[in-house]
Amino acid sequence: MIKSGNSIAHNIVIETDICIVGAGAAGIPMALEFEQTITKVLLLESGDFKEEKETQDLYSGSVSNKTMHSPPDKYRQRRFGGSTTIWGGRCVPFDPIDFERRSYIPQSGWPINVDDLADFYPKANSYLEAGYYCYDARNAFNPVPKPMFEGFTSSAFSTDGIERFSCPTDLGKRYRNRFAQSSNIDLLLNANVIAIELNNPGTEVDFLQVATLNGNAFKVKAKSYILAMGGIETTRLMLVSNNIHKNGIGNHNDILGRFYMCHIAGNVGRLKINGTTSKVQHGYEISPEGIYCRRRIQLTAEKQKELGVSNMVARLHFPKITDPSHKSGILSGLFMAKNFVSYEYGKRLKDDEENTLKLKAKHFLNILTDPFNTFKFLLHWLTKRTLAERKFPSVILPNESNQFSLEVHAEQIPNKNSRIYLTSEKDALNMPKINVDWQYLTEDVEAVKKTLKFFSEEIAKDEIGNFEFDADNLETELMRFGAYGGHHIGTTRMGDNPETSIVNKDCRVHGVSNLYVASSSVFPTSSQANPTLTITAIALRLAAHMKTMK
Amino acid sequence: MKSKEIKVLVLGGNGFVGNEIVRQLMQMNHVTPLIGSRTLSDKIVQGVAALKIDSTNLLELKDGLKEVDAVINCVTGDATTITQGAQLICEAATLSGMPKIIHLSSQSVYGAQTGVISENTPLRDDLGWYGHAKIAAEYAVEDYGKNGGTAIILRPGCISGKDSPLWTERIITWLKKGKLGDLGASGDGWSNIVDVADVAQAATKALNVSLREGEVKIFNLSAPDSPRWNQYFVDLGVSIGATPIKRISNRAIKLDAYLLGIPIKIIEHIFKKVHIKATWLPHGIPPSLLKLFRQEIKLDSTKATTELELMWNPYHIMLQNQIPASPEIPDKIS
Ligand SMILES: Cc1cc2nc3c(=O)[nH]c(=O)nc-3n(C[C@H](O)[C@H](O)[C@H](O)COP(=O)(O)OP(=O)(O)OC[C@H]3O[C@@H](n4cnc5c(N)ncnc54)[C@H](O)[C@@H]3O)c2cc1C
Repeated sequence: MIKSGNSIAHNIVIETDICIVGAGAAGIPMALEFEQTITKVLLLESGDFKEEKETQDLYSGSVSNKTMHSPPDKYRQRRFGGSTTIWGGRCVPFDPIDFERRSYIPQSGWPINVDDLADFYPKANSYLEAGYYCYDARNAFNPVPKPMFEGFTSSAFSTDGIERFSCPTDLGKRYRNRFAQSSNIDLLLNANVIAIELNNPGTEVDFLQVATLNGNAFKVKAKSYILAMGGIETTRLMLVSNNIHKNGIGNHNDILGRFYMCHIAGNVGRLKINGTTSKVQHGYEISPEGIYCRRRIQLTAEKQKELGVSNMVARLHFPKITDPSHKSGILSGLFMAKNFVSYEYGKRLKDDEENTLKLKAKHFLNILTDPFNTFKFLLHWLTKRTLAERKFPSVILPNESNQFSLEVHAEQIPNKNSRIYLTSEKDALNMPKINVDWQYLTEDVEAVKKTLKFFSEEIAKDEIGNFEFDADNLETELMRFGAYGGHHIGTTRMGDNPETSIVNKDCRVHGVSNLYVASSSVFPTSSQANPTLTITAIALRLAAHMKTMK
Repeated sequence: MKSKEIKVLVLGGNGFVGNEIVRQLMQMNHVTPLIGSRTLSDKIVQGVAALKIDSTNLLELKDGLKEVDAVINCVTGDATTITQGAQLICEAATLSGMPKIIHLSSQSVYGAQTGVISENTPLRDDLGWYGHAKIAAEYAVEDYGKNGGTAIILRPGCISGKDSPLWTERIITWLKKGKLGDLGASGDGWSNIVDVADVAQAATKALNVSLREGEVKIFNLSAPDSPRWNQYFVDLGVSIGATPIKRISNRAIKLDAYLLGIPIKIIEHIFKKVHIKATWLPHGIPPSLLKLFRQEIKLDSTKATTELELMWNPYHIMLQNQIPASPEIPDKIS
């Protein structure tokens, strides 16, 4: 059943078996796992079906360095469906090496491994509508497609790993009907959890305080509580709830809110492949189930260990949009359109270069002189993206020159000084706001540099082309837009040791018997992969765990 | 196991389900199957005696039911055939020594209800003529029990199989035409798909169930691992090579069903009136199906698993059993 928090009688206590807070990529699938069971599940969601400014404002806060991180009310959505209402849909599982303790990466190592998620990744893939769980180009397509680069024999780099794209599915819209028809799962909208109240020794959650923006308030009492409010907000609520645990729930050792990670990303260098354009597979491939997939260049786990580098991937990208010398009408069209695109999607289209009239004129000229390609592109965009429910994921230009830049997406090394913390400012529900102080390490950039240098050697070895990049300028390139948006990782990290982590391997807060976290905030390391598939997989694993409990 | 030879009449034994039942009965060494069918075409299973029986004709029924130990009713057709047929079969059975009746009903007797549906769930008559007729037919069988007869009612979900006109053939046609695919929220209901081989297995196992005088038992039949519709469409589409599977928006599918489907049905109706076959007309997806594809109804078949000891075909086998020619199932289907 679906109800509004405003319809609940003032000050009452709602009782349930499991209370999940937050209806996004974690909360929705987790709640739905209890369909057709006798478990009573209450899913509390702050927002409504549509974006509402007042609710979204509850996400506002500050950042220490505006060029390094977006404001906290950007790149997340406070409404039913959560940030999946605007996400890009890129799905990739974490690699086995991501879970390992790597001697060259301090604070690495998860208390679980990739096998612990084996049963849940396929299911997560299906909730996110990314097709069959197969992330190897050699098995995902029929017939088996050509390799990414003809003649590339390197055993150190794999080019068969793929990413799959969700529609991108707004989980709220997609699964709303299941909530409406369910008799044991209740979804309560407009219901903001503002505090977690612990019993006196601080060993158990007693109840949750819930408030609506219309002034209603009530409590929820459950056997178990699961926080699934996203990587930042979960941490904020735990920090705010400091009646019994004075530094925030489970925060006896100043870990909560620390080790905040996103991803390091940017477009780097110039890759030139010799010969005809048919030697490169640079765009999307469609799997039999109709899923857009794309290949990635990745250093193998063995080689990562040998070089002592963190994990990263690279995709083929087009030249710099802002520079009109590319002569592409499509790119110039994008350049001109960037002001009409949302903040989140416009951000990486912008550049620090000055947007002069002369520059605009040159781009306009490109559009005029390249009308056929521009028209073809627009038509494709209209039919395969704007009007399609399964959307063509991104702009891909025809490969005319075998020249690309590399779009890097890299792991960030855990860093205690990178953190989110409460400030004295309060939101409309009187909850302290947060400040985000995202930081990266020189080692993060160095790892990318080493990997790219090695890639350059491997390409040269096979004599299939060359890859050049400005190593001295790499940091600037990778930090041009700061932290990659929307990936909020590490602030309630998972571990066996309560002194260095917040939750245990079952995602339960150390020392609190009935409080769990299902979010990317539990990831101790960030991987090269976008987080959502793993968020959903971890959430499904938690749901399975709850089912085994009496 | 009984060693006595028993004679079983399969009414509708020439149809899609009946055919499979007859084939399975032939494998049983203490059973002599007998086919009853309105038309005796070349589809009739070889080596089995066949009688021309119209189940809306009491005299033909009485004749056919003579010396029969059990009768399996898998006749389908219009409302009269379904309802009156069941009533007359029961009447004829009462007059012919009260053989056991195994009656094939349908999930549609549960109407538009949602949730997990066990055999105890009250019936609901809100799905139009078909559900109405199927409920009336069940009442006739219940009455047979009240009069001292014994009967088993089977309520299958959607029956699949190579020759299944509704749940395999037309789905494949739509998949190939790109009218069906991944429907998103519009295909989120449970398919309750069941392999025709499993339905036949249930019917044959029902012969061995011992019933008290006047007892009527009911079993739901839906493969325990039957997926939601979307999954079924995608897997079937991939299996037959109707790829890449299309994502079809709610807008597009509704347009097809309401804007194109209804006028086509009307034209078909008019042509029928003047006795012209309009097979050349495209077959739209009827609006009633769109409702089914969304319906969050899950048949609980636990009773069939435990009491009939049904060995269900796993989902991937069920899929394989539907593919017309070259079976090529990707191993990624789980
Ligand atoms: C523009 C953009 C593009 C992205 N692209 C990708 C991509 O391609 N691939 C990828 O893997 N990831 C991507 N992401 C990230 C992805 O959206 C998130 O990882 C994912 O949505 C996180 O899921 P979640 O359930 O943890 O949090 P969310 O989806 O954010 O859901 C949290 C929910 O909690 C609710 N909530 C918050 N506070 C409270 C409270 N106090 N009380 C009650 N409810 C509350 C919120 O309203 C929200 O519904 C992208 C994000 C953005 C913004």
